[in-house]
Amino acid sequence: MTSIQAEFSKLKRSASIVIVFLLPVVSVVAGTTSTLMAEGGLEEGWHTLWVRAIGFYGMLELPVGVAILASLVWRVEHKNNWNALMNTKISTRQVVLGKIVVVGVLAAVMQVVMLAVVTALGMTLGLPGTVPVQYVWASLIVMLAGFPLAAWQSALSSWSRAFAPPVAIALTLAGLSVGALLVAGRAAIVSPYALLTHATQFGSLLSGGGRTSFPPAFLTLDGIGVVVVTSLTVTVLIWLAHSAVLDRADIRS
Amino acid sequence: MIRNEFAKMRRLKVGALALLMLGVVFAMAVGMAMGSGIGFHLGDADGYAWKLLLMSQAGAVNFLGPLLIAVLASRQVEIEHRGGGWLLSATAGITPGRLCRVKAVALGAVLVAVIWLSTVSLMGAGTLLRITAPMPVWNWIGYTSLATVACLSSLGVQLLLSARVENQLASLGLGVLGAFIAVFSTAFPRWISYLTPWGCFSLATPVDFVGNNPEYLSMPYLGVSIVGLLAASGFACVTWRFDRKES
Repeated sequence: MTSIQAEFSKLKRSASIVIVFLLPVVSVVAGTTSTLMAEGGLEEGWHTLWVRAIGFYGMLELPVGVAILASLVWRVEHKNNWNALMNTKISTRQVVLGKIVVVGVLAAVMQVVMLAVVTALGMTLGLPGTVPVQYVWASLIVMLAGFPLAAWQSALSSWSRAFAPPVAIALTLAGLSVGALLVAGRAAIVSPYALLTHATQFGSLLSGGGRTSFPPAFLTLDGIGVVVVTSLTVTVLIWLAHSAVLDRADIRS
Repeated sequence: MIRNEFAKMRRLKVGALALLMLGVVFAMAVGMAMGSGIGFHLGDADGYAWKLLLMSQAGAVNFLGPLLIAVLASRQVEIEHRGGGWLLSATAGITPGRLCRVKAVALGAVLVAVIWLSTVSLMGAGTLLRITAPMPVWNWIGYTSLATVACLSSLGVQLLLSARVENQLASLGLGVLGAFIAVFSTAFPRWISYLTPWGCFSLATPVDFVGNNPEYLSMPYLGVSIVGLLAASGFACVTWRFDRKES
């Protein structure tokens, strides 16, 4: 059994599945219901639905959700399994990679759930056709951009035996990254939080000019390329650095 | 006892987290105001820039407050679960309910400091930006007072949940739900916001756009005060029951 398979088998008794399904569902329902109450309808159909569903979710709920997932995935190791994990024949890099993949995949599933709920809700509300294809592409980018944050939060959760501090750090840095995106624009995406928030903004532009306050994230080759390259580079760097630090860590009692 | 809680906070680095959050609220509020073009309205006689700054502070507090409170409360209570602190305190004559009340006072003091310092720092930022219109001091004091009630009411609920449910996922989950309520309930009928402490965050919103201009909203001082009183009474009742219950 590889380290990645082992990590997925540990999920069977984990509460992570609750986060993966509940967070996107609540986000979409809250965003849509508040828009319907305030504006009486979805003025630009699918586009309004998507912008309202993903706005707050991308800024805070998704980064915090990834942080909670990482804390959950590492919690089993902090409960008397740390030394056993660090003494297996599997290298530290593989252990860390297993954790990154499992958190990243769970974050990606959250985006799939979000897309599915938006589609279902739009059809229930009688919007014509189905969700525009640009949001399917945007979702694929969000799924990839979740991996650097999964790697970073995984590192924080491996160092912190307590559950809440990595989530607190995520909350703080997600807030700062929102500020940085507003002030510095795309340059802020060196932060994994800002990168993920930026990725959620892809295609979120209403024809009337109404959008979130962020700099526009257009689905162009340049826009996508920057996110893809940054995601892969940052993930690999964090993975290698985290493994190197853990290799030098002492046993824990 | 209070000093004891502050000693635990030092170990849990609550002070550092509170300072960091103060910085984040400030940075986010300034970022939101700049994103909304505050720089073009510094000389507006109707105080457009002050309104934008105040609205941005409310946005940042609504955005971050519920989850910050969940993290602080669960951290401060987790230490008792992990170290057998409930029993240890009980043998020293401090019952679980009393311990919860002491934690509420200590954490409440930290929250009050964060929210009021964020107000003072943003007032300072507006002054440094040379906003020419007079500073709306009373609007700001009114907002900060209501936000304080919202923070303390939700702190009570989070402390009780953390004391009863050891799994921190529950308290953080409630914090996430609280953030949704704080951000989105502005769009719902007002009476819905009175049903939960997190709704008070949205009730405290002092400024909103009417057309293209930000306007001051009427503040529901009485309603939010009643929610605060009910929350305090509920907290007192439940902690009183904790004192009379076998653990």
